[in-house]
Amino acid sequence: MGSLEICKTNKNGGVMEINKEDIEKSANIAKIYLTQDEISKYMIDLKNMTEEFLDTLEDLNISLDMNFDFNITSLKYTNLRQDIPDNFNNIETIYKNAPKIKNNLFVVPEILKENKK
Amino acid sequence: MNNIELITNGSIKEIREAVINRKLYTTELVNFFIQRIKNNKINSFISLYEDDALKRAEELDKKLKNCEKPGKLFGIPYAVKDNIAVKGYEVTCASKMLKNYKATYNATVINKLNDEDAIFLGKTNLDEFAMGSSTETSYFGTTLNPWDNNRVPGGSSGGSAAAIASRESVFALGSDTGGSIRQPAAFCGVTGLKATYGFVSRFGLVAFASSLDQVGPIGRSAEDLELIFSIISGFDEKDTTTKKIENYKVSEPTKRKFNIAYTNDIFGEEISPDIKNNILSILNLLKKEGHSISEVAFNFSKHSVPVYQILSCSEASSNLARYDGIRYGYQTKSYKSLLDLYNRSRGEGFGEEVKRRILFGTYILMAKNNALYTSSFKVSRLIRENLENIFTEYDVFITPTTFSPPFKIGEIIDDPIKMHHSDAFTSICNLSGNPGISIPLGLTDNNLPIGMQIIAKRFDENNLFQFAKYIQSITDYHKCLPEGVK
Repeated sequence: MGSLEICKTNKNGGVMEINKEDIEKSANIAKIYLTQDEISKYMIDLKNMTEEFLDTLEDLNISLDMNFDFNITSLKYTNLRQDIPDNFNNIETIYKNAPKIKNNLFVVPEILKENKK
Repeated sequence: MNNIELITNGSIKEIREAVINRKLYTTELVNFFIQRIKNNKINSFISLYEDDALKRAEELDKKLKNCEKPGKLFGIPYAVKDNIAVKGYEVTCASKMLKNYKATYNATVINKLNDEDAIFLGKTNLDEFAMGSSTETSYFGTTLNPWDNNRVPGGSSGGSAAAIASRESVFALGSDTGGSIRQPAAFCGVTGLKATYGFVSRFGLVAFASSLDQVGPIGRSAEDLELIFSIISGFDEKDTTTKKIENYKVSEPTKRKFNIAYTNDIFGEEISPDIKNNILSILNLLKKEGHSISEVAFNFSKHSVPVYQILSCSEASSNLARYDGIRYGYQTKSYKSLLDLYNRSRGEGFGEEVKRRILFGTYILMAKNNALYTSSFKVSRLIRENLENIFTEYDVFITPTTFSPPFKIGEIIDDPIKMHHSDAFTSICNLSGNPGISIPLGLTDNNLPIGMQIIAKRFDENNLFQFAKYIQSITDYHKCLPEGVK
């Protein structure tokens, strides 16, 4: 399966497409391994979800662009607290939650190989 | 009322009084619910902490003997959706990813309930990471609707709603990002609240979409919910989005006449005739009682879901990036490199719906699609402005909670768009920040529950509860119980 064209165009007449590369790129960024079957299925699902949103914009006569003042939606209040360090007394549970622990450190796969001659 | 009737049908206030007056023992109360949870086969709980609940009941009995002042929820058992942290207990989010993960601290709402002497029973089922409308995406299996075991209880807080409908607890906590408290409350014939965004602390709630998530109660009546809300609401320095506001005080019963608006959406073709007729019937009753009733054009029910999906999935793709399979959670057994470990742990640890939403969110946040994300805020603002206009004239705004009564298990699980549309009326409140409550509104001809949503102005929960309590004082819909539960 190559690409799925989303017929609803934006106000500038551009046509949006979702193709296999979009799904693979998204999966790569999101760090999720997908099978070929999953890629095919999600390509259709994402196309349908995007198309539904474009239908909504068309219905409400709203242009698809990046012109929006985010200050309007931001909260009128942000109650930041003082940055005061506190002792956390439940470190054992954190160790127990880890898949692999050695000397109180999380174990990760080796990323730098020793140059063995 | 004998003790069984009291436990099954009583309000929190009535049960608490009976416990304090020694007409009912906390251990008797806890044992009743434990036996009911064990005997019921609806899969509403993921975990039950029988010994700890009984130990807590005994501690409270001692407190009473020592004449210590009892809390507002003295001896009242409660259940918690399994995406809210209770220290020392598993918080799985109904996912393989967090199957054995234990919380290292309490959510703020849990501390507040425990400070008022409530008794924690266990954790309830949900859609994986609260993503779904039926509990069918739970790693631990689907919860069955107590009214018809072939049907879903709604979601994502389906376990909490089913537990209340089947009287496995007095009340339960849920979380609501697009309707996850109100839709299951409607499907199970109970009452559920999503408060104004910023009124209840999210600290200790596992994040899905942080700008939309709210913790809220599910219970037997608006009266019970208001009491719980008065306890769990308020500023929390651990959640910077909570507002510094006076402590909420439980509203007095009122005889005032309300100015009520209802959506013309109820005449749409998609609405089930039973839901339309029951809403029109309650509106007629309210009119006869002297309240002002007006139909308003509010045609956003078909627009809210696509916008909600864009915003919530974008936030989810970021929030769920923390599950790397190294520090906690599921780790794949076979990998070739660090990157392979990440990819396989997440590919194997997350279920189909969660992966779909993460991928959609990641796709939306790509630079080339930025206009999709930006434009979704325009629709969101339009919805909010239209609601604000309604509340310049009216006290409350009525919509159905859902288009239809509960659907059959497996009926729409393969159609994500149709499943997402379960949130059409409820996600409006999450996008705008307004409070919404779903109250039961009788049954269909097939004996399935119907829900009605009441929306109020932001931070005007007082008005919302006064109206919801008023309706429940002139009707008995909230007292209907499934056949096997009576």
